[in-house]
Amino acid sequence: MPQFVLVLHRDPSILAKFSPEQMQTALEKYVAWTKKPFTVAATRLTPDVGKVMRNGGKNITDGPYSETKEVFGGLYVIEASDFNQAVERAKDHPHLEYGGTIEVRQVHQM
Amino acid sequence: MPHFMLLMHEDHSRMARMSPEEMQKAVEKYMAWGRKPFMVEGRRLAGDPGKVIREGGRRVSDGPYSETKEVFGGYFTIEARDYDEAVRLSMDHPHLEYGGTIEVRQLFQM
Repeated sequence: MPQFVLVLHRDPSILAKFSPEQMQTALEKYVAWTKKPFTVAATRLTPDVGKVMRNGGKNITDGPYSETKEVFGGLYVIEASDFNQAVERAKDHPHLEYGGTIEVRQVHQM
Repeated sequence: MPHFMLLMHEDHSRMARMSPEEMQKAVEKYMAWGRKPFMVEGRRLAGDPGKVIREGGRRVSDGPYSETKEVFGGYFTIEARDYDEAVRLSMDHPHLEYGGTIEVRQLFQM
């Protein structure tokens, strides 16, 4: 079965407006989604901006990587027969309910 | 030990100019790096631009996600004590030699 990566992009300003209770509810929804039978792996990134290495490693700066307002927040690996099924499976991910964007990419089969 | 994700951003036009032999050599270098002792896992994404799901799932378009010329090409998860060590361990990654950018992000420990 082909694997697809769901790249979760989010606007940090949305999360910053959450109450602790809203945050807890959101977290529970995300964790529940990881228990779907087609989920292979799930990772969540810390909210810091990270480091970016460019120009052969000569240029190392604090993130974020891109200049868009959205940052890369986490990544899920799921199984699906094709892009259509991968998108269908991703459509009830709570990330969409919370205003995030999901990039769906196929894993290269080696 | 904390985990860090190395996000490989790359310019596809550079890869398109490589000969099959150069490409084969590059793949071998990436795979060799993937066998380092601090490696947790890694995945390479297929070359197509993928799909992007926005606005609560009402909008599904072809990728790429961002308007920068670089696309997200794959990732490695490694173990490191902190950002300094994660960056140091990544300095000899072949992705840098091939002109790519590495975004280093810490994983949330659940």
